[in-house]
Amino acid sequence: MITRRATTGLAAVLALLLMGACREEGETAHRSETGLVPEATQRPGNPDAGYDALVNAPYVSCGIPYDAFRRLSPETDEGDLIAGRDGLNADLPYAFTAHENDDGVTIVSSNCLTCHAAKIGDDLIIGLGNEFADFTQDPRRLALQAGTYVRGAAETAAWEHWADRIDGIAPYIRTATVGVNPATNLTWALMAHRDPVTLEWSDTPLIDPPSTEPLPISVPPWWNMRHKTAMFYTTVGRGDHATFMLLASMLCVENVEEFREVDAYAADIRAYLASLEAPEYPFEIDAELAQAGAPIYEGECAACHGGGKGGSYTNRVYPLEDIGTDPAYALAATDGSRDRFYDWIASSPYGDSDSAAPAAGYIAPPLDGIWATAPYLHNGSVPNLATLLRPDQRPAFWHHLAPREYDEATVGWRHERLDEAQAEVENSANRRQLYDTTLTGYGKGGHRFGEDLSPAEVKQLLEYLKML
Amino acid sequence: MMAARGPVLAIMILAIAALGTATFFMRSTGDATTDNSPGPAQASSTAVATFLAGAATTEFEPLRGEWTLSLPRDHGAHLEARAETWSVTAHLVAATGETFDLSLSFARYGIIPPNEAAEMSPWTVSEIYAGQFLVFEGSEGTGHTEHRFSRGAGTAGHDPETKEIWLDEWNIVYGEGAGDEGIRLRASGVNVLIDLLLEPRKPALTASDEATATTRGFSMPRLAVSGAIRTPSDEFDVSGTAWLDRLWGDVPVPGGPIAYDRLTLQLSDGTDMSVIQTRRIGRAGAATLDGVLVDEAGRAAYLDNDALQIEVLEERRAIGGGSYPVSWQVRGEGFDLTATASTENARQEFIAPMWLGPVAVEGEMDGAAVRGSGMLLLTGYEDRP
Repeated sequence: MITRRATTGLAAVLALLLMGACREEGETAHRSETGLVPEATQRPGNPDAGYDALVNAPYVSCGIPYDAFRRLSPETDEGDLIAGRDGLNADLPYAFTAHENDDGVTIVSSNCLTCHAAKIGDDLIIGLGNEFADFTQDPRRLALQAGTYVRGAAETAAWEHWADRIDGIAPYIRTATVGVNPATNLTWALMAHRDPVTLEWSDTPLIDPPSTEPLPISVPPWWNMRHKTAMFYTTVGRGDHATFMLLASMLCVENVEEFREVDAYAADIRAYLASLEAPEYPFEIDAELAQAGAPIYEGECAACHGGGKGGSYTNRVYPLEDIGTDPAYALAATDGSRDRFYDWIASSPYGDSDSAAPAAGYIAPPLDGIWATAPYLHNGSVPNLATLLRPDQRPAFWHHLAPREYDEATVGWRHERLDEAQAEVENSANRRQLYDTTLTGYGKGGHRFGEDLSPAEVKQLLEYLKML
Repeated sequence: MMAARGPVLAIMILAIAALGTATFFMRSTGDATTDNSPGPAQASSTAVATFLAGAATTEFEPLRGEWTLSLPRDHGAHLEARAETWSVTAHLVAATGETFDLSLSFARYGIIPPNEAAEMSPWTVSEIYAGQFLVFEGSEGTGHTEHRFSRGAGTAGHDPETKEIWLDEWNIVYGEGAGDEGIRLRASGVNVLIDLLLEPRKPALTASDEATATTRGFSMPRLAVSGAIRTPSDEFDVSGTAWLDRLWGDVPVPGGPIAYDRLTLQLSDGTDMSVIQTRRIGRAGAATLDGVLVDEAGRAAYLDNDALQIEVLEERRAIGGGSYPVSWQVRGEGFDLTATASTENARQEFIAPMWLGPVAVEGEMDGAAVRGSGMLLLTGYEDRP
């Protein structure tokens, strides 16, 4: 009942953010040109130490007192345990990390894996974006639920620390559809509540907060970090990726000293992420078909996305008029409406004046493991690769089918085409599951590359993409 | 817009659980007809608090596995659960016109898990029973309050053979009435005695549907009530309606940073409604609303903040301290209801103080005028040090 649903939701709320920033040679402050994204030097790090920190360290330092967490979620599924975890963490679900705070209260916090790990079948794939997390609910509801079992002054203080933060960000992180992620908006909301110099929290916003209708994003896979010279779809995250990622710890960080403690191992975590490789396709691949698909890939995909597995990858941002996908996200990043947040980063320990510098377009990502990352486009608006390659057949309204099953033929999760927009669906549970591509930022248009391929060629290309 | 059944019920069950336990830590104050004598009551409450503090740390295994509601069995005790509650509110009218609102609640707290208790002396305190009985009489809501505690050992207990849960001379007998899904209630205070048969008129609402639920239960949103109420001056044949909540599992003990308010309404058009407001005590923060609206045919619609608006119509400074929002306006699609406190002071106090008192309801439901009765329970409004 309450247990798994609540804690899953809480995890989603807690662990969201991961952003990067820096800027580049754009003529305007906090802007980059479309086109080539130049390389940025990254701090060296130890991948093994990075994994250890990723799954054990308290970089999100507030959360639910352990006793209350266990009352709500007394058991951990075997399939949610992962290797390399210490102490209490060894028995916690992978998306949660425990640590003892200064008052001696053991806290359970969500970690990065809430959004950056997902299962295909029974296999947990670290680095795969979670495309089924539910950010449609008011997180304050979940925070209140978690408070039910909190007892005693120390536990109450710990819970209130976290609940205050949740109250602060709650208005800005509710998405319209289950599965899409509001991480960017969450990051802006946290900045609005923190002094950039001292990082001190303010219950009331210190600068104008972001929109209360976050633009949706699909969580990009970590294994592409090894190729990319800037982070995120608009390449807003430039410069030192490791420090920029630490915006993930900003939900709870209280001061610069605490930031420094986490920053000390951030480069290790980045090194671990950069060591990840795409998972192997777990089902059978028709080698003959795939071979026939290779030249199609070269002709249709390689120019923007790079030369396939093992091939070269060029970091290039393509302008909106070329790519044609939903422009809302890139426009919001570059129309000036977020400059106060880029200024915040420039004033903070998280970056400098070059850190946040988006381009007015979208990067063409490497296609390593593309078969695993459905749904597609930056907003997750297209349910599978087969429909991505048939732009006029993409569903306007759709939802994933339960139970969750991978569809080898279409390369994506099973889904169902629907006839109604969200506004026409009375039942809120059904409404929230419905992906409505007519909503702002949720559009399915653009990226029409490959639309002229014959059905046979599409089949061949899909088979080849499973090999990446 | 309606909300999903699962999340709303999930919240409701926790809230009811917390409210349920809080209910057992109180006694009435500022009430001329209170039956309690402060000395022994305070002593017993302290002892009970001590025991319950122990119960809170007892290692009961969490409930596991799927369950489906089974009646009348689930009216009975669930020994594997750390705690459980039986809660009834009823609104009655006598053939001669007198009105009564009542609340009767039982709770059972496990101190020692049953498998361990079986190997101990029968005199070992392995569970505690608590009961609380409120009757508000007439339009002024004159109150009668009684509470009981027991360590079991014969003075309180449960018997699946006779389908009875008892606490001193109070009891709930289940498997009664048509369909065997009803219950019979008997309880008494110094100035009031009830003997009532409650028979469900709508399907039970189950509150948990996930295998990992650690708290389980169900509500019966409308039961038809018939029976008798005796006061020092008279005996009344009464009839009316009732709402029943049953919970068992990991029911939280009183305390903590969260407060709950609960309004339960029974309307003249056959509609029943329950609204729970969940808040942080003493903090601004958001409050959440979770409700269920059950139409005459028993169809339930689950409502959350998007579908419910509450406006406080009256805040009242209670004798004994605390300022309570005692009258509410509740609005949503198709309904606009005013619930006005119908008793002067319903502040109750034992360990956790609260307001628990009847409301009179007027308003509109689907465009038609309705009236009704209800009970409002408010927690966490006390003066903070």
